[in-house]
Amino acid sequence: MNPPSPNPRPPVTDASAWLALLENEWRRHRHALTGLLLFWIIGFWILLLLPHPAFHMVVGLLYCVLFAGPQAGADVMDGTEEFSFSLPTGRGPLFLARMTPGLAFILIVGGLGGLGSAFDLPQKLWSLVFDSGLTEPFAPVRDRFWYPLAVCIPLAVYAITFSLAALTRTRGSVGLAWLPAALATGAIIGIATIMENLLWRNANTLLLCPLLIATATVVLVIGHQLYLRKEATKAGGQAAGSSIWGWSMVVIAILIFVVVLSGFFFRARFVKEAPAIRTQQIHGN
Amino acid sequence: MAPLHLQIDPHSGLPVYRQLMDQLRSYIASGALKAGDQLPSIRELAKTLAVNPSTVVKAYGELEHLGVIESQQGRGAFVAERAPRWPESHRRDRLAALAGQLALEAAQMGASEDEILDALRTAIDRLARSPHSNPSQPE
Amino acid sequence: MNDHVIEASDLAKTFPGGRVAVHGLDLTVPTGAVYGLIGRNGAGKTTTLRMLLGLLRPNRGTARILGQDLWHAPRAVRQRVAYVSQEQQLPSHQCAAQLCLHLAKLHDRWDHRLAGKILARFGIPPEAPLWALSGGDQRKVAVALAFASRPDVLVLDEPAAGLDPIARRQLIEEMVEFLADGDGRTVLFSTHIIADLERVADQIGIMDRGRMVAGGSLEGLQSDMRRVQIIFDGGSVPAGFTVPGMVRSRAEGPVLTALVRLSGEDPLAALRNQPGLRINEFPLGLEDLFIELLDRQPADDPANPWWISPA
Repeated sequence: MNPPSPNPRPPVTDASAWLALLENEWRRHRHALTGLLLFWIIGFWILLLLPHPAFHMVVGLLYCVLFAGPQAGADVMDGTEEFSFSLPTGRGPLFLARMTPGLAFILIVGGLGGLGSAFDLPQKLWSLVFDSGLTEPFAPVRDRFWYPLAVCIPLAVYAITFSLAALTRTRGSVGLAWLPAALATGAIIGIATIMENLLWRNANTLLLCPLLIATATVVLVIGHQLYLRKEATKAGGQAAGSSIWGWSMVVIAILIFVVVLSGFFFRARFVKEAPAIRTQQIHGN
Repeated sequence: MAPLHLQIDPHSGLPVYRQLMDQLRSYIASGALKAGDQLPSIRELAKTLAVNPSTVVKAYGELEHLGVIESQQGRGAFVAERAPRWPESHRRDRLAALAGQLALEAAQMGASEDEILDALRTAIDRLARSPHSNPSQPE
Repeated sequence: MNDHVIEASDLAKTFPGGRVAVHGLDLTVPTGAVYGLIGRNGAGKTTTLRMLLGLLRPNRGTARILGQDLWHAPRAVRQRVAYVSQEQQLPSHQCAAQLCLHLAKLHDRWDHRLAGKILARFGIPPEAPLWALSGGDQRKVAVALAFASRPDVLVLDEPAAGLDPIARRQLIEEMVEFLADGDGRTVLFSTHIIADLERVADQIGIMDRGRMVAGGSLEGLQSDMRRVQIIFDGGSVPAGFTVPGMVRSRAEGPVLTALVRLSGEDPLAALRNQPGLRINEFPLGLEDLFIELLDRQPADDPANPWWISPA
């Protein structure tokens, strides 16, 4: 029906198309990504400035604040959503391709960083090159919970930021999507910590980390499903319709209210029992 | 192949393929296109005139049906060997319609019978002299 | 293969806020046709096209291209449909060449050479970033990209808007070449520019206020519809006078101007012999037809528009 293509090329499959989308996202954001990555590498691996695992968490969160929103909502900001949605690949692969760089960044920074902090890897690597004797081996931070949190907290913030920014129809919400994400994550931390205190008398992140991971997964899955149903926003300006931003703020406000309320409730109980707990811990250790 | 100057007026109520047919027939009738001359390919003509190729297909099809042109498989369309002859009744009807149009408009202008006949003769002369001109346009 | 490559049935869309953009619209485009959709601004043309392409979700009805709902169709089907929208923004930080490279990896049938040829014909430097190009030039790039993907169905929403007459002509020529170079290729485009429609369209749909008010083959509409002018000797049009086959009419003094649909035998035969009136008939160009049909008169009832069935 159509004359054959005059330019023989490797055949295009759904998988190769998805990779092409990924490559496009990388090419588009490579400066930002490599910039932040370099900052992290220099700060942790090279200059050994901040060996505390919280640094990795901060870098991950920085990514969320600076890049997650604009990456997910790039179409809304530029007005190119009609173009992107009329590409043959469709909405689903687009969502996943945009989600991947950020996800990979957080997992790498949090994961490798956590390992590096736990086993003092930067110093060990440097010692392979030269031994200056200038620094002491850095004792890993005793509170083990920082290591998983370095991945889990940015993961949750990223997931919510990304999904909100991808689903919104208004430009303003794209850049600020990290705010409700941060508040929601804070609320989850608060609730989980309170529950951990109830269950184990100790904030040990046994509940928090799985909860954060589960939240991230659920939010991304739901975001993906909703994105598949998203109507393309017009190029001309803000599209009419309810904004996700508005609704999420309402939800977050409710969450904060719940946290604060439960905080007051449980604080009353903690204050009474606190001296007994502390004595127990000192003797127990 | 003589250069064909075909004019398509999209605004007239006449469908494009009819305009094409009429103009090609006048070319053939005037002798500018002789028997055996090749007509431009459908693709080429469509592109030159910026009209839907299916319009050209239709025009060529109708002309072939009327015996004005014939298409040879793989080689294109050519002016038919036998002189295009419209059936007598068709010629009569067509001429009557054209004459009616002319008479009506001329009457609305208030032209006399002599003026009308004069204009007709001039147009016929002009067409005989320069087959590529458009007799409707003032010289 | 299905006879109709584009089918919309009872399509309706109401936007949040209550504005009804499209009311129960039916649209069919046969394979290989060039279908022109015309209507005034705000008639719902863009909304209809966006629903057909899976960019907007209809409240009611179905919209199918190539037999599938494009919203859920796989990549292999979606790549056979190309779309150039009126308000479309292309990623402005990239240049035409980069976009070509990117899109080539998403379309099986991408033709680089064709892309380069069309861009050159339009006079677009392929290495210039899109933000540096004018709106018309960006539209030309979008058109070039659409043609280069060698689709089976080409959907264009006001493609000539913002283009100068030369560029418009080039666009028509590209469209003609597109049609001539493949079998069964179909074009659906919406436009204000009637002259372009008259050149290339063979099917027409006229939309008004969210409804399809006339449809069918262009030739049929042109040959069937006539403007009929009846001049009454009495000095005024008799009240309640109707012409058989009349669709619309207006009376000014002794003149009744009516839009008449001819079908079968001459419906005006009875009137021609009637004394006391003179009849003039004029063929209608599409632009005149458009104006006649859509110029709103006070007597129109917006809830109950008249309808011309397809020829």
